[in-house]
Amino acid sequence: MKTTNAKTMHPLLRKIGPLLGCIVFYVVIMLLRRADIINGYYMQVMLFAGVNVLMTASLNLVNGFTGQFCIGHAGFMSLGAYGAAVITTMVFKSNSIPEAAQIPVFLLGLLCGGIVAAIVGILIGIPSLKLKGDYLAIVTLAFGEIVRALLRLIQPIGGARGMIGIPNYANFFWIMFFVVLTLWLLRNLIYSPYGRAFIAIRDNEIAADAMGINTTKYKIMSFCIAAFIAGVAGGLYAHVLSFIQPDSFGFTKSADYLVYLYAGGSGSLTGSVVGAVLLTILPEVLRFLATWRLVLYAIILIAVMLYRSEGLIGGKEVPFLRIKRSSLYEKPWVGRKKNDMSAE
Amino acid sequence: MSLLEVKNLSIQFGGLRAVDDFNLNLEKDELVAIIGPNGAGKTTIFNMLTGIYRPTSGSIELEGESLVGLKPYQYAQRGISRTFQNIRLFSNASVIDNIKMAATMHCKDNLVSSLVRTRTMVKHERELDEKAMSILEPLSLADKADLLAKNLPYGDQRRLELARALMTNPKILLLDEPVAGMITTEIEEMAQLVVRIRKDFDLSIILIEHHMNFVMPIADRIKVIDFGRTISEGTPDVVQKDPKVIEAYLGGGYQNVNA
Amino acid sequence: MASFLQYLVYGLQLGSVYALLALGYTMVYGIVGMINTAHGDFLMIGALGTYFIAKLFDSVSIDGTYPMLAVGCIILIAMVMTGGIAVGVEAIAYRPLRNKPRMIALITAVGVSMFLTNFPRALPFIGPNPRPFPTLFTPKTFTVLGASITSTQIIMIILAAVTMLALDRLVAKTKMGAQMRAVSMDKDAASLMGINIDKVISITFFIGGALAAVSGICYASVYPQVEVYMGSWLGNMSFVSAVLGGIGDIRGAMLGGFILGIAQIFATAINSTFGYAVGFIILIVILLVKPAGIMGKVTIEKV
Repeated sequence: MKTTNAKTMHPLLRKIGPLLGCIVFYVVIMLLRRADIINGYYMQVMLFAGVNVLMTASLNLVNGFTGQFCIGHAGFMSLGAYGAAVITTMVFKSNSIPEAAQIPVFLLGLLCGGIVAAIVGILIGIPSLKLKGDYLAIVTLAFGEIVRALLRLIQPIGGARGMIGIPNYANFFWIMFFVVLTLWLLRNLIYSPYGRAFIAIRDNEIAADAMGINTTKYKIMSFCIAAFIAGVAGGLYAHVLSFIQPDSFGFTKSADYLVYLYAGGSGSLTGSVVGAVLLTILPEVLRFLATWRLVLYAIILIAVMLYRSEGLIGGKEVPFLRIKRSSLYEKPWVGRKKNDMSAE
Repeated sequence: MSLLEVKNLSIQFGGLRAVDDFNLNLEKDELVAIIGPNGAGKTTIFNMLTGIYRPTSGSIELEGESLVGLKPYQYAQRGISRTFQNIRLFSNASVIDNIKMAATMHCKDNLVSSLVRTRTMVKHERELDEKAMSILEPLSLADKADLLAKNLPYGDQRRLELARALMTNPKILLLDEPVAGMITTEIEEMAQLVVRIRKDFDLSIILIEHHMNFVMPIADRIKVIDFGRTISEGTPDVVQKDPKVIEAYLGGGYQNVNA
Repeated sequence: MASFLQYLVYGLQLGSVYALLALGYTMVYGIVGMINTAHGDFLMIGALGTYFIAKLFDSVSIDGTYPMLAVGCIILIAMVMTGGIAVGVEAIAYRPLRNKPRMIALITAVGVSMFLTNFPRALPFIGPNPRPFPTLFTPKTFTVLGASITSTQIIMIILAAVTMLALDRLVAKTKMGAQMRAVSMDKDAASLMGINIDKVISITFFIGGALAAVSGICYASVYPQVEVYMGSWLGNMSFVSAVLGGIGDIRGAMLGGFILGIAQIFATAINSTFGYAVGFIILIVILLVKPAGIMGKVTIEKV
């Protein structure tokens, strides 16, 4: 096998490095929090940034990697938010959960929220993914609004007033945990036959069909995975804010995620992270401008689209969010199994 | 029973009968060429043979199994693969990724093992990489494996389309104008390449082309289509001399005023 | 019967608002292939602008309403102003992105919409508070078959119909209309034929903006509170109308607008949430049954 001349990272460093980095980052943030250099407000911004990374990365899977046009992503978020909140506040009455059971109940809630979103994703996906381009966009937009309308109608979960009193289970640890986990899973997915199928559908759907890829199945799969992640993100959101209402998940919210995605650069996980984090923080930083805040935000957005339409990151990936071909030929470094010897 | 039996294949678009009563019995390892003027319906025939269009009448049977009504990806999975007249590469992917994408239907890993990258899945990825390189090598694309498909020169792009179609392990390969836009030397190279892969990959080939110096030396049989109808068929020698073919290409009844 | 007719009247009126706004959406889509999600904000600019323009004519107002000539001037100024802003938006934000992927233009439209709502909101003399729309006509009420209909409503519906007919003639019969149709079919070929596509696109946006202003005036004459956020809901609904009728088709936009307006009024009469959702329900139905819309033509992609 040919070896590249470029400097490649030592495999051990490449695999362990990012995880160590995350742990260090976590510890540093926790220390700063304890010292109140990061106060409650900043922390909440960071928690929302994490939720937004999950939303943006999952939207990237559908829009950026599979080339579809989903513009109602907040609908899945709302399903997950309500699904998780129902579990933690209604199925298990939140003030009577013993401390030991809090985390399992929370995780169960997140899982249920994700599953609800994923099931709806499949139901929506099957008829809509036959549509192309603009029409698919319109259907996803309508879907988001219909979910919102339906949630407003259901009185037991609060109707239009929303649901309050959701326990504050989502702390910085859980947000970081899910962000890191999701990015790792998405990276693996993209550099797998499934991810390549998504990209093939994006780049040339007719050719993908002709090469034996069941495009409908993979489009629905991509949609469903993205919906699940969005559902989990919604569940986390509900347990950060402790309050959710249907109107916060309308097209405005979906538009936010579209903006984070394309400002960061679609087709790149790094872009999703950067876009989500920067644009979550930006309105907060601009708060001192009062009513001019959103005007400046709008101008910045338009400027980025005009002058760097491929997004701030422009489709590239940082090393730990991509997998190079050469890594396939590295010798495994952890306990070679006997049957693995024969493969070489 | 032939490998591929196409009987009375016809398609109508509104009032226009684009293909009328097309018949073909393709034997194993045969190379059949379909020629004819532009707009004769040749690509439409290909589109029906790959499931992109549904014929209004007629049948297509591959090794006895009827294919009409199946989706394009199912045609590919049953062994009919194609290249396109206007190149349809996965432009933003690398050369080798383009090849790997064609192997999706042979993927042995499930979603979960791909999400966590089990050792088996990585092994399969490595084997896929090696197989992809083994197809790129004979097509002189191995050293360009990591380049983006859209950055390749035209001739390389055509060969990449070919390599990608080969990756699906087809029984029948459909080539739609494989030498369009090429110069003589490139045409000769492509002709040699097609003959070679037919042998190396044990293929039966149907191709559409205009360049006679590409078709004549390599085809076993030729079918000539004009306005959707088959006007002549036979070996290259027979077809070349058929007056109906000459008329379709050059028009009949012109007298040279200088004669 | 009387209430049926009453609802019909309201439906026609709301339908005119949607139809006029949908025309702008559909023309822009037909000519540049872009869904301008900021279009609803042009309606808001027209309506809010009319409020301030009317103030200029305060000297000639009688008891809060204005003489016909003044009304004509106010409406005309509002149309020109909104059309001009639309042209400006196109030139600054959309023209440079003409050859880029569609999503980029959509994101930019989100930014434009954000700017158009928040810039007036930030300006001290406008602000977020709703303003009462000036009564432009003295309303006289007529009763027809048990349903009451005001002169304002009649004028609005007629104004809308006249505007739409004028646009239809413009596109079908004039040289500029032919140029617009050519650009919508093939931009590059049109420019090779000597058509100044920048000019055609600017004119399209101008007309769209002017129509949005009329739409806003029609709406605000009936629901007289105008504020910076009024455009977004109406914009979404008119977008649904355009898709319903067949996006890119002018007659489709008119048809879709009236159908949606009438459907919404009747649906709201049954149940308010149904009224809120009926637009999206119609949308989903049409997209699943005939995505090209009522008047749309289905195109097959050539392989």
